[in-house]
Amino acid sequence: MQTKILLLALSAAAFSSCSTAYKSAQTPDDVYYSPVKIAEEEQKREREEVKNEPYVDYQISMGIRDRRWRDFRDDYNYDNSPYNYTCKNYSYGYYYNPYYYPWAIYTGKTSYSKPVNTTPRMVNLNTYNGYNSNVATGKTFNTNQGKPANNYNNSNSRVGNLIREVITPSNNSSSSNNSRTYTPPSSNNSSSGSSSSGSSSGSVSRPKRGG
Amino acid sequence: MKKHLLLISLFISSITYAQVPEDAIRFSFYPQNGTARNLAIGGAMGSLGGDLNATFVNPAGLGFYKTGEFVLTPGFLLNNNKISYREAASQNKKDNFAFGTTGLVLGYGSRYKKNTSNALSFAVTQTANFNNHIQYKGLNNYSSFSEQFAEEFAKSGISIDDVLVNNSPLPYGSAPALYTYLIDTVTVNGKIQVKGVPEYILDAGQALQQEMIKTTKGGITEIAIGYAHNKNDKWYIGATLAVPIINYSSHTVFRESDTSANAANNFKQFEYTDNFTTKGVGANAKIGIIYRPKDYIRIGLAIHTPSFMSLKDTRTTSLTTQLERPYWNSPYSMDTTIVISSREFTNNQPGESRYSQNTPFKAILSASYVFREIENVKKQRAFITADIEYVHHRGSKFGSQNEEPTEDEKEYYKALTRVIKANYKGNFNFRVGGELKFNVFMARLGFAYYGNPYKDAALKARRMLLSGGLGYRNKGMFIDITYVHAMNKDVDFPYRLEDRANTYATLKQQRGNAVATVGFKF
Repeated sequence: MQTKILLLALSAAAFSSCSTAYKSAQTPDDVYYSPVKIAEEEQKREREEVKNEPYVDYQISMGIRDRRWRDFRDDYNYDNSPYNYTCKNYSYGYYYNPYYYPWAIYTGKTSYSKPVNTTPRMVNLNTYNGYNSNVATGKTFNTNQGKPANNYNNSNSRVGNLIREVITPSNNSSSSNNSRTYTPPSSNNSSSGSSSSGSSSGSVSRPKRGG
Repeated sequence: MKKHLLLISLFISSITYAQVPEDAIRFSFYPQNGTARNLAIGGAMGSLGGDLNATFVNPAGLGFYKTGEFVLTPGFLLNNNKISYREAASQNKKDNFAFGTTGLVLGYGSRYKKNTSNALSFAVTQTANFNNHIQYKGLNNYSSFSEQFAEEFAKSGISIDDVLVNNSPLPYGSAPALYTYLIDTVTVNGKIQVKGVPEYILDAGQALQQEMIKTTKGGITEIAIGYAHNKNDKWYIGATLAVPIINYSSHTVFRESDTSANAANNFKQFEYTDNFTTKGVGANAKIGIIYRPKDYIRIGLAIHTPSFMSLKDTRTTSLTTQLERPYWNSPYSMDTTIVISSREFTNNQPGESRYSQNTPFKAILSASYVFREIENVKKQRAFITADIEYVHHRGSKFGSQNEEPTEDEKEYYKALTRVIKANYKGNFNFRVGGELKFNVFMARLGFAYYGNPYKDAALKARRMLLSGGLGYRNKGMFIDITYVHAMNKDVDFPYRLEDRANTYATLKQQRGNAVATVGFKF
């Protein structure tokens, strides 16, 4: 943040030094009226300045200051050949040579990286009111008609308790109407109290129930 | 095993491109930013022109420039939130730096026609600022946060073993919840069901203490180049090409705990942490026209295309669950604490997903009346201006960035589009403001109202802004200072369930925005 403020301050200082055109005249307000007069005068002055400017060979003057400019102009150097337009740093894993191939050429990294899990934030679209008209039988509304338009519960009234069904951990047979019915794949019926065995490769084992 | 793999692959193929509808509204429901002068007049810039912020509202307004201008707009945001969740009130605040429209305008008149000119602008602005902190808590005797994981896992049809793997199809919710036994399977009348342990507290008629802490950062920074042509000081046409850069991050902590003193009723508490970022870049265009039928009157129309954005989400979650007897059936301890990170299920690295998102289009109709459009600054007096803006919130779209999307993928996006269309609506926003000018000093007032984007009337949301400012313009430079006071309403769903009535928090936000603009004429 301090860098941004410093950058803003420097820009302001630079522009305040340039803003000399209106220091003696009225400062125009472009919302009301934008005069063209001063800009034209400046253009005329700039044109005069360009006419009077002495010719300078920038390539020579820059070459005197820094030898890299001299190397840059060495057309006989193989590395500067336009047909050898490649990024020499292969550590990026790719380089470009548009004279041979219009896209990046991948040299391939030798190191192996694990695949990135691309599962994003998921959402059950049925939880949004007014979309799904075929909500499964739920605890709140014992019907197949789906949730009504304004189906919210923002207070702790007794109704909230009464419409919940009771499933106790000690006796798992007191209820029958729950939309969280789970049908696991036939060969793997995990039941209450079970812990994942983690037998398959790459599995994450749960801590054993009851420690 | 083949069947398992098929199920998993089908499930993965149907969710890897999934996004949530709230992502749509986040990138479309925010007030307009601008220079201090523009913010002081409510942000109305659909027809007024002569301000750098016209680049982002109606680029035709740049056509009023025949001079050059450089503008800097730093700012400071003061957020103060009052939140009600299940009849319990919370309050919190967060301040941070911001910046408004900053850049350069180059206006130049025609050599041959006095009343014709062109203008070019290079500008950057923080279109949206996401920096905020909301925190609320309340008692809930109706539903548990854990039930969304139970629902997700029950609907998946995937076995526990196939969820608890290094590269899991359900790595952020169900896998941590299964690992820590926050959810598990129970047998009811011979049928296996999935249940969250906190539900035992609810089933016993007791309430859970729920607490949500959400800190959001970042914003949308838009870099733009604008051009406008003025024909005979009558017609002004302009266009802007802009590149929005999206940088959003959220750190969310949700806690749920047993409120009773009973140390043997299955569940004590859990804490779920979600670190989420969205980064990306996009492109959009704005075109506009302003007609000046006669002196003093300006009428403007502008259209903003959707922003076509390419985004990448990065996500890591963690879960700490404390269980009690009799559910935690150990002869050695009364309770236990289990901790897990989603990185265990995403190959020990944050999960990533890439997708495209299009924001809704906008249309702006505007009119202004400028008292005395004359060159002599001492005789310039005042202006009033007003915008009506339509934002098609229900038009947001998501898409896969796969080269050859599958049928499942296409179907999911169709469903998501239907949800967005069903839950959001196009709304009208209003901005009005005016200025009084006293030689080199100016005083301004403004008002803006951004309507409710939610279709459901029960969900109240709006942005209402009152603004005022002062300006000084002399000796080739100008300084404007503005204070904008926003009174916002919104809702926040900590979680959503399919088979229960949903619960949400109502947010009342007071946001102060102190902005200053320094500009130089050349």
